[in-house]
Amino acid sequence: MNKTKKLSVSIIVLILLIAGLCITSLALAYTVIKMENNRFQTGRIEIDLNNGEPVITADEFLFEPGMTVEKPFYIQNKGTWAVYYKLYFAQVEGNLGDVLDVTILNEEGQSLLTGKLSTLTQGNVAALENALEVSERQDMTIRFHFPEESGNAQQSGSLTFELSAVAVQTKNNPDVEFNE
Amino acid sequence: MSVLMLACFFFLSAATPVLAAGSEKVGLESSDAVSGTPFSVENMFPGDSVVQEYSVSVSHKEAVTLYYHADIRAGYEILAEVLEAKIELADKGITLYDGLLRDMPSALEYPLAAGEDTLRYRITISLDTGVGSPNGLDPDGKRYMNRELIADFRWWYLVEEPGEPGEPAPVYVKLTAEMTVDGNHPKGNDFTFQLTDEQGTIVQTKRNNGGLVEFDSLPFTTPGVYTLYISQLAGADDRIEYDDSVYRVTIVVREQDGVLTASVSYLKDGRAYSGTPLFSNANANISGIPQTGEKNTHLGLYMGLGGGALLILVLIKRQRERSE
Repeated sequence: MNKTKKLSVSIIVLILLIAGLCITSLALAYTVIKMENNRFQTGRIEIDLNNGEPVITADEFLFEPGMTVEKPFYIQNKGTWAVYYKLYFAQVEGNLGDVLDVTILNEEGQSLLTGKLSTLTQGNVAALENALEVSERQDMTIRFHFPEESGNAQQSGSLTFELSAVAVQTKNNPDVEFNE
Repeated sequence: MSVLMLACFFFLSAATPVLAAGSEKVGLESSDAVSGTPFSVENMFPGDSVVQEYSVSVSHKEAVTLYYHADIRAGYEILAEVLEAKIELADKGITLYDGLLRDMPSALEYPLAAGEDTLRYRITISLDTGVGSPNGLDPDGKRYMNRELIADFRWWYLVEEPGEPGEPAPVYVKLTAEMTVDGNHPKGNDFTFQLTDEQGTIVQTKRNNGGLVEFDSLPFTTPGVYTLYISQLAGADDRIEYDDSVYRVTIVVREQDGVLTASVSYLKDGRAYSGTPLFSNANANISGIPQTGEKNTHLGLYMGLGGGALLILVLIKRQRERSE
């Protein structure tokens, strides 16, 4: 193919391409309007219960009838909204769970929760009356009491448990539902 | 002592953004506009609902169809699994859509008669109170906490010039996937994913970007049913148990009034799968094997101990030679 033919072919192809583009452009026209950057961010529920540290450790005390032990602990709201919360005991093992009386007290010494340790489970306890605001920390005391009347029947008894907390946002939650 | 955190739940969807034809190529006529303010919502909790209204003005002589879609940006798909959208034409009492953002059709349409230039869209975004309740997809109730979704709202219309034949412009489908290692999004891009067709031909190969796998937009120009497969390539790291799941992707392209729309559905192991395809990798449980991404930081220690032992042997040998 000589130069003249090449040029002719090129021109024809170019004309065809331009024609095609014109048809496309004429056939359809679009208009787009945008409202960009709509942002939605969810909140977070997070609580710190005594930094995960046990309130009482094995061999720390040897309980006997009439003995009372008090230990401090705290709970703090590290989420982005106020929360309702429950304190309860889980993974309770050992016969002393039905013997020990447990009381949780606030800073003013008011009782927030009391009963036999084995009965204070998640399903049995109610949410504490006061919500925990964002970043708020509540210092508390847990009191263990070995009743005098227990006698020696519980000698060599044992107990392991987890002091636990569950929290739920106060927002849109007038009935204090915990999704349990 | 255990700390139980009850999550709140929010949701953004496993959205597969479906881009409407030609939307990224056209100019905006000065008379076409939307007035309103973008959503900027923080600290949403289950039960929250937010509303914005947008007045959309378009300039047209003939009757046209106005389309709307909320494009969820790549990487923000998770919250679309639970965020709900209600799209209403406020002045007409018409609801165009009421459902999950993830499931919104690729185009919500409304016919605009000649001379009707303005529509008022009321958009409500909400989070159901049940979001955050533990379930199979969200076993600990934390999946939707502290998440963000960014969406671009888009309206468009198509004017067909009289007397000119027009082929429908292509509809674009963008496929994404999520990946984890031991339930967490990894850093880096050490994992490889493939998109293949029914014949096994590789369509695209992509590496992860953290927990996100993003394939290039696929154009479809013809109505029909298209099948693709998303899978992960097993890597060479024997410390990782690679998820060998294969997701079958069915893309249905339809044409209506000269406009192509697409819908996407997934099958995993023969069962319908809702949400973004997820590849859950795990660290192999081999004692003494470092975790994913962890360098063997003991190598220097071993070399030092080995060198020290060698030095001691040399010193003992010299001492014996002197003694002899």
